[in-house]
Amino acid sequence: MQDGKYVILCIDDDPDVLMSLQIILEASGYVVKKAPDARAGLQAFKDLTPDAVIIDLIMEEVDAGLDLVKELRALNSKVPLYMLSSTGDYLYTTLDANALGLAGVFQKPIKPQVLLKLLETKLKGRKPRP
Amino acid sequence: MADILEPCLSAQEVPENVPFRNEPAMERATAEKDLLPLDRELEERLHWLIRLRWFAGTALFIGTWIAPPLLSVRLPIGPLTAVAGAVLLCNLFLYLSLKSLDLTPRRLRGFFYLQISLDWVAVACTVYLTGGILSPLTLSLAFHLVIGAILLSRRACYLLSIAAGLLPGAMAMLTILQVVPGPVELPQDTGIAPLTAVWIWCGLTLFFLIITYLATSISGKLREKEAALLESEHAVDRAYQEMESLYQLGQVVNSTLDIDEVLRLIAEHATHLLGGKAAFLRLFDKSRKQLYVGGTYGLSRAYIDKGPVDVDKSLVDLEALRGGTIQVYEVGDDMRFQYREEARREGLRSMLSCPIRAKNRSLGVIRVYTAEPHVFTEPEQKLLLNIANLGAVAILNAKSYSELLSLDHERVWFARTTHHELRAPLAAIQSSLEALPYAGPLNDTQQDLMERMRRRVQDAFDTIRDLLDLAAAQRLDDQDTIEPIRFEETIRPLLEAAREQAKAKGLSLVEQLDTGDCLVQAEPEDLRRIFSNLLSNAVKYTPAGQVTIGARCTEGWLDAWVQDTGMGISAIDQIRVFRAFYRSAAAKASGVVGTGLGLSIVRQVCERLGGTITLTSQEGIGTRFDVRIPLARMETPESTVLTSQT
Repeated sequence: MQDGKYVILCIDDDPDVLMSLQIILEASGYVVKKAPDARAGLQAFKDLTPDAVIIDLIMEEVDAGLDLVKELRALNSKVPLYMLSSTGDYLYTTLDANALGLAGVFQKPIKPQVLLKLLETKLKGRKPRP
Repeated sequence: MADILEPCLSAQEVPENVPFRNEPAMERATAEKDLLPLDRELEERLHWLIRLRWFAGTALFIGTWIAPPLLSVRLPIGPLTAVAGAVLLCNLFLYLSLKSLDLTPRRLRGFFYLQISLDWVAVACTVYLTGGILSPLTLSLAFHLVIGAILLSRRACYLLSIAAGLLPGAMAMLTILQVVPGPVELPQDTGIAPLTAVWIWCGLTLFFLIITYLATSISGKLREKEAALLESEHAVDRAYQEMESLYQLGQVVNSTLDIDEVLRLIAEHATHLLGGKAAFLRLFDKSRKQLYVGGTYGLSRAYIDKGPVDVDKSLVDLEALRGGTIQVYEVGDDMRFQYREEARREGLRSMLSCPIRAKNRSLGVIRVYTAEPHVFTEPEQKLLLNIANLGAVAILNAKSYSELLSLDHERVWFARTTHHELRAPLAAIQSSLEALPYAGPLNDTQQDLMERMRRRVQDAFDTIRDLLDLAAAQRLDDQDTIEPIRFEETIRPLLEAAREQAKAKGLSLVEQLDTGDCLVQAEPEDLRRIFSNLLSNAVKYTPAGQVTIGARCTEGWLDAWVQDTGMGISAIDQIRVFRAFYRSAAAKASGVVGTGLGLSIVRQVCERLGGTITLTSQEGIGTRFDVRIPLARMETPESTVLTSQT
């Protein structure tokens, strides 16, 4: 929580997607922190302790997104993690959201209404972080 | 006597001496314990002699008692009756012994000599008692010469005929010299003149020699014919077995496309067919001029791994690669052999090697080794060549298939990678377009332009998805390795998406699913490709009414259908709609956007799953697609059962 707003950490190696996420989320009253790769994402997670994290499934390395999810889950089991994935990605077909402890999976291209509704439902009533 | 019988035996054994190598070595070893054809004949003849002897003994007995009153001669009835009794008694003993004895070839021959000896003793006694050289029974010795001609060698027969001549001659001489007394009941015999005795003796001997000559000539011819017949019978038998074995080998090696398995099978069959100990099949690496391990049978790991064979160092292989067939009698001593010491340690003795050739080039070399020194015959060399030729075809098949498979994997990998690379920028564009209104209000023209861009990007997405689906639909993966999945559970999410689509167009989606827990051998993506295409087509091309999806399990099959009340497909287009990139004029005119790949993908997936797709349609009324895919087969120990639960 920052200035009474929820902090969303977005990790994606595509700067254009990051920018779109930022515009949509900031216009809807969230604070957005961006990380361009898994390593920066991990560091930002430790520094910021965000209220939710959106991670791209396929980054510079094929399964970098999955590894990051496992690491973040190990660090903190409470923060909701969302995965960004492309329909038809071969990893997506074998992705088991529950087993990974994901709060949800978003399809690329981003559909603002879906994204915002999911975040709102998840974060509503959640106590602000110190 | 043994050496007298032997020449005749080996003459008839000829066909057996030709190595019958296309029997496995084990079978040959047991076959040798059995009786050879000649021994079997000897056994039959022994029975025949025993049958004849019953008649001979009985005839002697009857003759002894009826000849004196009938022919007015005086015979020593008592001793002759004793001889007849002894003959019959001995015959009974021989008969019982032959029945109860375990007949080995050795015993059979011993038995034969025993019978012949006993017969000669009986004949000598009878001749002596019935008048010595003057007895008409001396002629009965001729019967024994004929029997001898059937069973003994020519040399033995002549020895026998001389003995037959000497026997009455010696008897006459001993009587004349009064060394033995003449039979008392025959006073006329006591007064025989020595000269008459000599003449009779000469005549008898000549008679015996002529009989022997005639009998041995005839039986010799017969034996030759019999041997030739036996030989050709064996040749036919051998050829048949070879043909049968090669046919089986052909079936076995062509039953798999796994190259390692093919090579191993060829090595195994070559070993068995040639009755060898082991086989080594090496493939030729042209660039390195080396032979590397292909398939082996009967060899230790240490021997197999002893190292690659440099073709330049191995003259045997060099010669074989050039198309020759080479045999080495003792591999441990042959200088042409690269690994002599290793071969000696492995217990390999003789070797036959030939090239594995196809399309005029050598793919490799096959070697068959024996555990004992052996000279490979010409038929054996031809057999190995045939095995190698058959193997070459199977190797080429398997190689082509494995190359095809790796190309196919590369193609699918390429399609997936390209797919991601193509989608990523489009996804960024689309996401940016979606974010645009959040950056500030748009005027109407901007809004319109944005909608147009969004639509076109979506079209590009659809095309990319269909291209990937098409690549996946055509892949060659082994369907059997795929885990069975529940049909209804898998397509449920698709139905939800289709219901949303239908609702947006004011259509209703009707479900008639009755498949319970039916399992199909398919990947979830395969079912998505089939049913999401069919459902989305049905919704897209139906302006009003309803879309129905139904499915049920019947014997071994899952029958599913997607039916709509849409615009229908003309008769001519019904044939074309399954072609890639084909879109009917009516579909284009309807304004619905599509790639023309959907139905082509559906058909290819159905066919890869071992199923079919058919369509029935009437323009203006609607279309129905029927999909039929096989249910997963569950292997149980007792039988194969189908997973139909309904």
